Amino acid sequence: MTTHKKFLYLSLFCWVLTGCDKDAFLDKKPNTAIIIPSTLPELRSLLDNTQVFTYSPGLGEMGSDDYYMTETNWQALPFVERSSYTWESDLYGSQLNITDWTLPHQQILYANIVLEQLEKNQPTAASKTEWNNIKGSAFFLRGFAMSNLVQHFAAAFDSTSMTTTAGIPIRRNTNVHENVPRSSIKECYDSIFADLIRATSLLSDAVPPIAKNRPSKPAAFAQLARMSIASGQYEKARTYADSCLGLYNYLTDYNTVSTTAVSPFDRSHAETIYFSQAISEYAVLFTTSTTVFADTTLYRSYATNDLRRSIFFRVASGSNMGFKRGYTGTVLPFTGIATDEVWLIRAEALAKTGQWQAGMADLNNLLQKRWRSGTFTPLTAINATDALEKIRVERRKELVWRGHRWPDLKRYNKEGANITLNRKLGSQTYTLLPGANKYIFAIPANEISMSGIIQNPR
Amino acid sequence: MRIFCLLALLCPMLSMAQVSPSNASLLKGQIRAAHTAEYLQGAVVYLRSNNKRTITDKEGRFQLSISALPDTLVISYTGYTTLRLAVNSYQLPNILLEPSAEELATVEVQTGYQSLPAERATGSFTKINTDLFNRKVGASILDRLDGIASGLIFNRNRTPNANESAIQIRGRSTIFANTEPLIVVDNFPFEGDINQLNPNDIESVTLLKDAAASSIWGVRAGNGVIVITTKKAKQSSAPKLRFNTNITIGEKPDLYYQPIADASALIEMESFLFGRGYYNNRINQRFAGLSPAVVIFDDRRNGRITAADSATQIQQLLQTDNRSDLLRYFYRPSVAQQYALNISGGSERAQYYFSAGWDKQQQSQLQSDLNRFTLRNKTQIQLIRDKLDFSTDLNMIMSTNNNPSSAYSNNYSVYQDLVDDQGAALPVYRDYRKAWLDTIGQGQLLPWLHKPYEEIRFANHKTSRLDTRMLTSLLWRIRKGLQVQMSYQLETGNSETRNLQSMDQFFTRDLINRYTLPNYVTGIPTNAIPFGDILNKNDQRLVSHNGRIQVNYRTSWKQNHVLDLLGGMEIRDITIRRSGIRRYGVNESIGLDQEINPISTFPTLPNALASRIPTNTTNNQTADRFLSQFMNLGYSYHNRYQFTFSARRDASNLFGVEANQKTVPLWSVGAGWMVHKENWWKSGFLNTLKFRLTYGVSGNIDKAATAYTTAGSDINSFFSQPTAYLINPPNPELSWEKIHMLNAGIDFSVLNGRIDASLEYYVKNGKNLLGASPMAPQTGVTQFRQNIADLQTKGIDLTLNALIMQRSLQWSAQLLFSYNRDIIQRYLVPAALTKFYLTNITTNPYEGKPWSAIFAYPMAGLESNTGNPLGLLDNATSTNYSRLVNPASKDEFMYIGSGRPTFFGGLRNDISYQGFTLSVNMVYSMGYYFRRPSVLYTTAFSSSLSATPSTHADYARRWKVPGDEMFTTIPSMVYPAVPARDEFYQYSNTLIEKGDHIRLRDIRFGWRLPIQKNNPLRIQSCRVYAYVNNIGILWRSNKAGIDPDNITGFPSPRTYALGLEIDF
Repeated sequence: MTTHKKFLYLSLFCWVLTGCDKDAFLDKKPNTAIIIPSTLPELRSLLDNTQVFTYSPGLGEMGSDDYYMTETNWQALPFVERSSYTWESDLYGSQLNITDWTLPHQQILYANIVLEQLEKNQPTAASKTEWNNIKGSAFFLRGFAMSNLVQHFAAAFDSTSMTTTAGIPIRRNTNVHENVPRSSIKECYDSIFADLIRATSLLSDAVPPIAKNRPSKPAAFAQLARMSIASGQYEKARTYADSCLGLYNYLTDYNTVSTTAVSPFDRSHAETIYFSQAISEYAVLFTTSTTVFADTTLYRSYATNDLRRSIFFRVASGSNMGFKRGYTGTVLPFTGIATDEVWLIRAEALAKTGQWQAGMADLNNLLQKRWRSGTFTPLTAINATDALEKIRVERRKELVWRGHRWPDLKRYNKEGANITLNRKLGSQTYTLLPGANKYIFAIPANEISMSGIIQNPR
Repeated sequence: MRIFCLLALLCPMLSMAQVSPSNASLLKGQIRAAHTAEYLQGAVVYLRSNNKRTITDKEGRFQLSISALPDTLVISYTGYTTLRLAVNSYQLPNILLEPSAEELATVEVQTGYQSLPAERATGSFTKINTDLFNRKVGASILDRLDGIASGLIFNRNRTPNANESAIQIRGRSTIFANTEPLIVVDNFPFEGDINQLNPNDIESVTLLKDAAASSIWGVRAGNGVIVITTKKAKQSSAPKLRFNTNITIGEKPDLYYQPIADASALIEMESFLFGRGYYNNRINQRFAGLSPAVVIFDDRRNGRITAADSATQIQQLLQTDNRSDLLRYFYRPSVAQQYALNISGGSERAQYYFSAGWDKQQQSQLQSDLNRFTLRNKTQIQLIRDKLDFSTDLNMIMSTNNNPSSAYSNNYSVYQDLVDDQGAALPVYRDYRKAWLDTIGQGQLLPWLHKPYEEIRFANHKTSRLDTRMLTSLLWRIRKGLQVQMSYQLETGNSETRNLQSMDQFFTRDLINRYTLPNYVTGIPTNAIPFGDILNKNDQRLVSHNGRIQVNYRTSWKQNHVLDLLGGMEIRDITIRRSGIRRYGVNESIGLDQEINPISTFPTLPNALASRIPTNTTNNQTADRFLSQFMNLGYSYHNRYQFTFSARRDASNLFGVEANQKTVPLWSVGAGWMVHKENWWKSGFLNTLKFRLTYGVSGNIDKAATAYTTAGSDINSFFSQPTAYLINPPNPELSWEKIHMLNAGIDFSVLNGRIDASLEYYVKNGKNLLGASPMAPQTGVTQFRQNIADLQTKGIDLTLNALIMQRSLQWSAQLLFSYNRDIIQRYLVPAALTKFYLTNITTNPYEGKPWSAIFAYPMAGLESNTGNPLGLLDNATSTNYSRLVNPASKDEFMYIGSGRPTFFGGLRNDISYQGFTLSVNMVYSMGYYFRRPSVLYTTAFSSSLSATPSTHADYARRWKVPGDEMFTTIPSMVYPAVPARDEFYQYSNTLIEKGDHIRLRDIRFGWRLPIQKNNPLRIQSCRVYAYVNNIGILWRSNKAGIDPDNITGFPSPRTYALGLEIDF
């Protein structure tokens, strides 16, 4: 009897003892697939998520004049693609989730979370480089996402009205309960520039040869250059483009690129500095479409010996030309940064800042890699205006189907280019006047109803 | 023969006195209750011959002086059947008194921590005993509870992806957290698949419905608890053997149930779309599959066939309806066989129960079957007599399940012939066009045809499971009334799913072909994927440890006070490891496979896209750990006033709330009053009357909600880097859900117990429930979990048992009636868009309405000249659909009602006559609505594009010409389709139907064969039974012929079963 009692008390005691080490028992991680991101590799893996990053909005390219459709084929499209083509006031209809708006904001949240965690996790001497790199990447990615949002959902940069025109909300922390009103265009550009400049001081110099989704110092400089010409700051644009090209200026000779391949370039194309592509929501943008045709005037503007004629274009159906896969290697348009764009930015900035001959030299340096060997005669200009004109024509031809046309149209019209877009569907003609409100896309209805920010009039 | 003697001797009913020469003048004996083995104190014992009386002592002992043998001993005790015992000896063995019918009626209910007489309980329990549980035939345990358990509803028509459990006790108590009731088997939560258990091993099922009943289960009790108790041997019983077998045959599924557009309607639509150029993009792509009709139209347009050919081919399609072929070649009647055997017996100090079961099912899809073996061995030993009991319970379940359902998941145009007249499989060209397949590869590719009928034959998709459960328990009776029990349970579950897709299967040939680069110069293609079968293997391994130490104390004083106390601690650790892998180039016969390059990208056909070879590797482990303390107190005064109290604290390792390791205290109190035991009670019309009242707090957990920033590992990036995705941004204010529950009940019986009833009213208040609040997209998340909601569920459960006839013909009936209504009392964040209340109500709760509320846009018929559906805007009709489906305020749509039954229950009639029994069960669901499907042009058009048309039959009945609006409410077809117009129609009140219906669930017929006592086979009893399930709907409110339990999919086919049960 007593032995049993002793045994029982003993086992009870053991039980209580083990029970006392409660914390160790309860500290077990509930799921190996779930992490509380804090270490550098964990934070890096958030930024490496190519389902979230490496995507840019597609609405702009859908509204641009790089392509046209027949009425029959247009009718077969989903609602948003149809209404984008004709620049309808009611752009989204019953569509709920507008990825053009939500995805860049998701990118900003990821970047903010990483920045917040980095502050809690100060680097050691050994991890300083990687810590800087991740921090720089987060700044770059936030700046890149905001650039895309500003170019789609806010008016063109205008130094006279930039403090009074609505930009986008600037989000700086991870508190999802806090809704932020729209800041002015100036504040948005300031924020973008601040992020990108901080990125340049933190990121490493080398463009990754394969992992093109990882930002580098040249990428940050290039994005600064891109946003500088978008805001008409050509002096700055030249400096930033210079800084970028000083680190990375490789141009591919198109004579080495297959003119017959379905995918002439792969995902890690050498000219690419930072990889991004248009969101995959819109079938119109797919380079497999047989009903989306390249603008005929644009296509005819490529000379026979211009290799881009066969590398950028393919037969869509019958005699109609469509777009070929670009620097993405996928069916989606490339919207990232490549050296050709930076060369063109510098050329344009030089032409705008009184060094138009140097600008023409940059342009010719690019074009000689685009023409069949031995057929290229360098372009010449008679004055700055002529040089700018020629550079901008070549800019459109080089950066076709890459999401540049829409912000360029906004920018050129702001400068007074007075470009009117027309679409014909059957007997109906649709017109987009320069500076029209429809150049600024509507903010999705759920954003307006949840945060109460100001809607763009259309 | 000896066994038979022993049986006769030990069988409690037939306990016989043995002849013994000692104590010639004094008769001694000891009396126990047959069902509990407790000694009975105060039983009256007397001898027939001289009427000498005595009363048993505490240990049930008595002695009487006896003058001569033989004599008859009469033993009577309240609540037990009076026993007359022929006395042939001076010493008697243990005498067992059988409880009387009345005593039996006061059933014991199991909470998983204790077993207590229902009479003494204050909480809300539903007990399903063995007979009722076995009324239904089938391999699944939960299915057997349908229609017989009060307050339990089966949600057959769930909103896809909604957070809703298949079974629900007393309605909802949460919005986004766990909705599953806790399932407890033999005192421990069961982690495996409950339907794997052998139903023949089940002794009883008890539902714990209110806080007093369930709060002892703590944070997991918020949705109620289902306590399953398995069979064990009775003390001192002779070996008993029971064999049960049955066969169930089910009809083929009704493929004609879903109204889909027939061939002519579908071809008409495709012809129209073809004419409008809808298919141009796809046609121009050359390779993309097209529906057979579109191919004919395209061939005709390009002059590849003549007008006459085209007409003939179309004509042929018009005459095809592949559903007859599907029924003939793709489905078969289901057959389920069940065999179960159990042997039990033992002595006073050791008992055993052994059972074996075999279930063999052949499901209606070809190649789909299930084989399940169960083995169980339970042993109970009194190590030290009346002091120390030891028991072990070993369970093993082995099952294999073949499941070719992926071969059934494809849809084809109704006019797509799948099998030719000779019964040979025909190819379909839904993925690639025939013309393209004929030219691509020039013989360098594997055959690229897809023949669905052939696919089924090659299916090799098998899941094997091995589940074990081992329970050991030590019970130490320290002294009278004080017990300590220590239990430990180890549960393991291993399952392996192997899907071997051979080179004969389209999936494998297609994947290999897509990763092939034909070389038209050398003629030697480059294959990125090696030839051979593709094997997908998924393993899951579950290990669950449960330990519990529990002290029970029972004491009584001054005869009027009884106190029951229990308290203890519990530890749980559940680990589940899952892994999945894909192997290429598999040759099963030699057990080899080949490596692939999982990192590089390869050009793929038909689009030359650079893609990686899919690998499907998964690996993760989850661990749930709990530490809990619990106590329960029951006090009874004069046997008529009861008071209960229980409390529990849980701590867990869930990421959950920041303060989650601080324990969550949960508790309940209850009181009961048995009015009929009062001294002043006079039994008149009312025989018994009891009032019960309880209140308490249970908890609920949501594993997904966490206070920290969490991320999950994602598939590798395009650039082969490890990636993570954000699961949850930081959420420091998060707290657990708590459910406050009040239960008031009356139990009474009238007409001498012929009718007894139990009526309960309950209110569940879920406070601070987690809600998915929509967030402004600028935050980077669109949804966020936080404590923002209150949900109230009120209801009534009524159980009415009536003994209608009690002669040689016995007729009893049971009526179950439940009323249940939930209301979102508070929801702090409005839906992101007002229209979400119509389109996504389950994730956008509406304050003041049920969780399942159905709203609709008012539709004012069709416009007479266009057939456009007319909405209402500012009291005028409107066709501005973008505006109509984005309502500016809640006044622009109307509330229809609940989307889940608010009244439900069943009516069961049991009739028995001389060994024949007949039981008929009807179930009903009332007071709710559902949305009927109809033709939506946007989806009808786009689905015809992917060569898997799903056009509703309403297409043919749509508005076509002015005047049709008098007969139809189905809008005209417009091109291009306007999504908002479809959406308006889809959510308009035109498509709302009442869900109310009464269903004849099942009929069971049984016959107990008359068997002679001393038959040569020593059969004790033999019963045969027949059972028909899913008989049909007796009445339904909707006129569209829709089964409200199966708005999508097919109704459960009717099944017929025949069975035999023998006791030896």
